[in-house]
Amino acid sequence: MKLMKILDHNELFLDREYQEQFENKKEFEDPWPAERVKEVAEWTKTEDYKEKNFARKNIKINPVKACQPLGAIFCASGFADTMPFVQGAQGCVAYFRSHLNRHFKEPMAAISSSMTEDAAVFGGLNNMLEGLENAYALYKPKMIAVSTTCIAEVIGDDLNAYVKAAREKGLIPPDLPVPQAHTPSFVGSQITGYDNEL
Amino acid sequence: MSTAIKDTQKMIEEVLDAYPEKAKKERSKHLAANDPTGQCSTCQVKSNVKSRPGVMTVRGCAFAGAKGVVWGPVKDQITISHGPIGCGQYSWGGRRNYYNGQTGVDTFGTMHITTDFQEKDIVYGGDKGLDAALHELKELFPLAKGIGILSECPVGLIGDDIESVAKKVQKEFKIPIVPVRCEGFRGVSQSLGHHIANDTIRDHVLGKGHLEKTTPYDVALIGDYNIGGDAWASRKMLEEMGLRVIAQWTGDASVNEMGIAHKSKLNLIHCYRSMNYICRHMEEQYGTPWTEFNFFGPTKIYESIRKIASYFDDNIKEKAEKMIEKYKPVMDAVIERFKPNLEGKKVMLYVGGLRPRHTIGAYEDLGMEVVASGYEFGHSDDYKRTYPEMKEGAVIMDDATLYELEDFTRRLKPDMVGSGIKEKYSYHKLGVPFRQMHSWDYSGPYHGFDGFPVFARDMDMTVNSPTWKLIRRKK
Repeated sequence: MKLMKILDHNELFLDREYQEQFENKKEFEDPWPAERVKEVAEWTKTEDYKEKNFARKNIKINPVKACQPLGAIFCASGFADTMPFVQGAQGCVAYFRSHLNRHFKEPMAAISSSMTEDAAVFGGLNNMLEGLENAYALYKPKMIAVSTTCIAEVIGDDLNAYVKAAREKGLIPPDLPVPQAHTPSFVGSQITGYDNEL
Repeated sequence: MSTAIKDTQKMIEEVLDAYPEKAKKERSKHLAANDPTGQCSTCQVKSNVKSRPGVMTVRGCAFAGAKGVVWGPVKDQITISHGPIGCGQYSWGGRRNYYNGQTGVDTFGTMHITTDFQEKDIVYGGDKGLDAALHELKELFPLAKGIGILSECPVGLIGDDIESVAKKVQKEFKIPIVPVRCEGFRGVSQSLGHHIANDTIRDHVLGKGHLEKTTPYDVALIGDYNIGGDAWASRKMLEEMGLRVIAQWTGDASVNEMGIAHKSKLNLIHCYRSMNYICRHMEEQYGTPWTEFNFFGPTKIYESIRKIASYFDDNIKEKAEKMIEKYKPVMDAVIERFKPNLEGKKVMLYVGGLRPRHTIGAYEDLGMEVVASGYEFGHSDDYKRTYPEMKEGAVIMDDATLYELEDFTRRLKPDMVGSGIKEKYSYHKLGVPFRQMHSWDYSGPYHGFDGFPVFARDMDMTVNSPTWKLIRRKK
């Protein structure tokens, strides 16, 4: 088999043609003069910058902290045959699943009740009912562990009543354990979320 | 109706049997057997409507579309994830938008900056904190060319007025402060986030940049996010054919480039889904024509180069032909090298904005067949562009759930699946060769003449890795 040298992103852009391209692109970028960039870069290593950086109170930069429902579904995933269920917007769950998949390199299942604008106005009851029905029908879990995101908490969804309604309507079996935890993003971190779910 | 279509329809019905009645009825409208002619009335999928709760949709939210896709890659702007901590954390550095610059000094692309809402912000509002946050940022990052405020769910729910904060601070700083109302509960998927972000580009930066001179060959490269350096590979080709790329949206983009794109003579759009809105606006407002193109795989590349050249004079057309002549032997060598390994292999795709249809040509160049393809958040115009690209009876999926994807995989037995990180490891467990087709699985670029060899190598590596033989694949 003929060997072929293929340059990917690791080496390709070191090529002279690309380096020239980057240089020429600056014409359109309206960049700061190189001296100014250097000056600021040097300043970021000074005490003055450090003090300013330590003094900031209203903005977080590169924090190593995530939000409660992430911890909650991580906790729920540890129980056998349990489906984590998040009452909230679907983007959150897509993010949790991406994050946990990427981190652990393991599949991570979690269900969202896909709340949108109408649910934000009228409450998430219908989302939860249909969500529980579908989740149970597709995956037959032995437990559904519910947590919440910002949207459900800000509008104040009553999880207990919703789950009760789902049982009464026969959407999930009467004896299926459905524990619920309130895990808004604006309180604590993934650690508190884990504890709350537990 | 052909048997291929009938067989696929029967399979789809069997897959849908697992759902409760209501969800089944709803989902059946989103799955169809492909009819390339577009004559079969039941073969059109419904799209861009709400996902069913509880089915594990792969979709994200408007924030993901606006922050993660459109605004995030703009390098010399600070993008604030305004709201609680999570959203910014999870969208941090996930998309591999490469850029040049000194991070933390004159560029901020890979930084995660958030106002980290607490309970008191929910109760009393976050506007005051936002104002203070903007000032702190300005002090620490004096070289920022703009600041974007990307709202998360609670900001919209509690009714904060980020627009007035932005307006006030913009007067003070004299750089664009862009409030983006991309709360996650808006719309049905990422798609609305793209639209909202496009609108804010239009309102706050477009037309405000500085460009010394213009030429008859000015073009803007729109909808290329420079995943693994894609936009650079595309730019190289456009420059080689004699065009002057004045703006790159938004991979490796600067705020100035966002402000001068309207001066181009032709807008070239790669990801139609996420940026057609702004192209239409520039067409209406400035009379700039736009055209779609596809830089995946030689067949489509040659076609696209000629299409782009057709908008310009003979000088460009000649250079375009010369470029094709120069690279054709290289492309042929790549095909000769990899096609024997990949011939006849079946591929299943489930991705985002442009890849479900744009990459089909590249697979076919390598002798592979795409047997199923779907969009997380496509609209009907995306599907209309997809039907003719695929074989009769192929599966078309809209907003597919993980359950459907796995069941289709068992039935279609593809030799390779291309989707995202959320699907990757379930496929590993199923023993099915898998590649992330959002982030190129940490490889790339895949665009253009420099990208295709990498694409071909990666697909060969995926399908023919001996590792898969060590995993027992369910029959």
